Amino acid sequence: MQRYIARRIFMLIPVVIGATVVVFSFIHLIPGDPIITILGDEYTPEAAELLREQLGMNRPIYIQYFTWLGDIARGSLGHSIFPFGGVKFTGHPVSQLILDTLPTTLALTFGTMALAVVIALPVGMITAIKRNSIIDSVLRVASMVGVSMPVFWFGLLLIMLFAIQLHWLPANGNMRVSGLKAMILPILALSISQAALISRMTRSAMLEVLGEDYIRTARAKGLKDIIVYYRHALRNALIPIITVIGFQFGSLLGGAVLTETVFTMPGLGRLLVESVYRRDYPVIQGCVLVIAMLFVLTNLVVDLLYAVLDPRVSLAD
Amino acid sequence: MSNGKKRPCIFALIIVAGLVLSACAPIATPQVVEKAAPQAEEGTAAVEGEVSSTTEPAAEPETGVEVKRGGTLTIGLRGTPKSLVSIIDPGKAGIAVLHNTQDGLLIYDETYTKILPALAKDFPEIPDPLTYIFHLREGVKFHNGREVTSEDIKYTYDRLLDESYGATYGPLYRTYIDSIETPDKYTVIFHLKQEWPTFVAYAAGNHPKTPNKDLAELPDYGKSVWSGTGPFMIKEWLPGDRVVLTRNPNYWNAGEEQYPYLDEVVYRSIPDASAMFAALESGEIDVMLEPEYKDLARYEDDSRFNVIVNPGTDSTVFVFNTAMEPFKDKRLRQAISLGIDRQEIVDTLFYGYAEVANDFFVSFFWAHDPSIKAPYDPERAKALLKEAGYDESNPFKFTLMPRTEAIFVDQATLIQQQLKEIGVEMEIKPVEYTTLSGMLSGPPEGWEGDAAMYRYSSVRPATYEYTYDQFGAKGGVNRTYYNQEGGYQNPEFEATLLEAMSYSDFDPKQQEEAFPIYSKASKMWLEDAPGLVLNFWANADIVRADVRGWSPALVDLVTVKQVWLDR
Repeated sequence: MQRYIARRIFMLIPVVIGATVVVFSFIHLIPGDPIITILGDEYTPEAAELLREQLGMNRPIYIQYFTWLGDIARGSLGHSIFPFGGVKFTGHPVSQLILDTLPTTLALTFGTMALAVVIALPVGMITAIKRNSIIDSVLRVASMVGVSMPVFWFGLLLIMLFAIQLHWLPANGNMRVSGLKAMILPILALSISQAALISRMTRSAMLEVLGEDYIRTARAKGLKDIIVYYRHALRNALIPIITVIGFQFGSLLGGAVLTETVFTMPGLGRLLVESVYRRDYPVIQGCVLVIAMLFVLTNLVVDLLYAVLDPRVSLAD
Repeated sequence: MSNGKKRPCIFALIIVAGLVLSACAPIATPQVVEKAAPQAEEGTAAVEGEVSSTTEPAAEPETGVEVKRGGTLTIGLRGTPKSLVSIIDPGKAGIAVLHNTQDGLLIYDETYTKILPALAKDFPEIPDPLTYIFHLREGVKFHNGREVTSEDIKYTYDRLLDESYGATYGPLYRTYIDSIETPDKYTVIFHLKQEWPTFVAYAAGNHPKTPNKDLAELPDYGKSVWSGTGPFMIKEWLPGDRVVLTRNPNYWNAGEEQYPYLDEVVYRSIPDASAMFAALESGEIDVMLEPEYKDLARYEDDSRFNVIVNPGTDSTVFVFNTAMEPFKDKRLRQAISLGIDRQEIVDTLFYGYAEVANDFFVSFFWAHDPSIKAPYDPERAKALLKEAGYDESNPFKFTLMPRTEAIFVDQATLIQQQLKEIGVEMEIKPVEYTTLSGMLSGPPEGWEGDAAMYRYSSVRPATYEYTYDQFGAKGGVNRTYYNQEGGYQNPEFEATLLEAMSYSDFDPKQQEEAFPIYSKASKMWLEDAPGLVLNFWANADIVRADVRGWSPALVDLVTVKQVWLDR
């Protein structure tokens, strides 16, 4: 088990490096020049050249890339290219910018997935058990609506109702400004679509399992329905559900950009998008590196859960 | 995996933890939106650019109304500060903040049209065009209590001049300033390399604002350490989120009114327009800067808010590549100019919150000549096209490169329709702004289109920015090659503009003499049409009705020392 985990963590390195190579190449392909963004109206070719040299951006891209990798090996994600001050003007440390945004993104992700699972598992089970009943039809339509509804639009509706009309909750999702209650509306907005997706997957997995012989056997033994559904059916249906939850979890860690934008949340996704707009290469690269690592770690956790849930899955070498 | 059966408990724990976290949050207090009388300043027109020789109060208190002190004003910014160090370019959002925390030798008033002495006790003595002598006020103190001296002023400009600091605007200052001398504690002498008629405007500008030189050398300066002499002090900056200012109790320019009135000012960065409106409606912010024009109408009749509109200096500029075919031909440039209905653009796309540009200048600027009109004449445009060899069977075609933002693409699309009426087929090729800037500042062969459209902001009350900077042979942002190598030549225009520029912007008598010369240059420029200024955009803010003393500024650099809350 430990060897498996160690091997998977070791495998994280090429995956993350691969992700950074792709990002590093792509951000240099998109139109736009950060030097002009920094210089603004004072742009002149001479000033641009000087600044390019100061930032090391006049070197070949592969050298810039390896320099950056060297910095990472030394434990630094570098600095934003937009100077903020200091003795000789330097940008904010990328690690600091990411650490500032990570709590918001983690709170949003954990809160959303927790609420989504609370809603989705019972709904998925009920719709599977009561297949083709009215309650099944109603909940399926509801989950269809949940999946189809744009999150930013639903978020705006929630803001209009709870923040503007009722004044119960803040319109922003910024914990620094409004405390933990700031997370309620963003989590609600985001969890509905996640719950809809997971409940549909739960229904489909449960339906498959409920048709299996061992369920018939369990019933024939005279077990109570609740035991059959929870211990025998749900346990065996969990593998695909966990896969979806893990994937959605990883995606949310990468930043629910629209939700963070609508609710003005200082999260990782917004930091990444704003950095792309400003062509702040070190911040983009740092964000992608962290997101890739979180995603890979999430997948590792999911794989470990497979072994926990299904004894047939072996993690031994 | 002996504990496999306990795994569902992990989910249950996560779920419970999530619910507890949510439930632990205190219940929001309902917020009551109060109605208040409209502001006295609403709709105040900007005054003409002029220099005042004395420091004036920021705004006249409303008569018969008792000012309430204290409270926190929250302002919504669409952008986020690039930095909070004035020597580095802080960006528009950063400048908006620093405008209230720092002073330079001179400073703009709250309308941003008038220059006032600040750290200098008066305007400079100018014994010759290359020497400017400033005498400082005595007893002005930084936020930490140390007195401002000539060494701090010298340090500020030295940092701009020193290449190793990488100050964004350094190259400009290095072009003009040779050296700085401080013969005593309260005297600063600038020696220039060449004449710099707008130096006074730059001395009042956003970048040479004076820090305490002892603090400015600290590693955390600009991150958690700041200094200044303004009415507010920076307390905290969370990048991408907010900047918090607190009242400076020892403000040197507090006056009889004992400015500032507010205890705290919070600038919140809210890039998304929907989120900004939600914050405004829910009472989380008191002021929304720069709302989109299309949203203003619905707030104009809402008694909870005041919509404050002020003419602005941001302009839409349409430039031709006069160094390349087809726009080497003056007739084609004239035809395009005559075929554009500028009023329709203002009415349709700006909802009336802009003004048609006719000469170089915005209507409130002293050099503006209202008798000059940029005509809309489709018939004459067609005649010019015919003269140049184009007709219905052989339509004139060209490519316009607007910036990619909606306001430029929308204008390009409307112009495309208008030009269709005169038989011109214009292709639109939006280009990302940094790419466009780089392309237009390069050689004419590098353009990927024949014309371009972007924004230019004349942020200083100086004719230079409206005229020479954009259309002079040595103008910093001349993107038309007008009177440059390979571009369309009209030496008479260049000479006329240079003659006009030799008069001071800041002396009413000289303004009077320069006025007809600028009018003449405007007419020549309209005739040559190397580039067109289509419109000047209004500045608009939406302010809660109980925010009093709000004073709209031309470039949304709002002074808040005179603002108070009627709550």
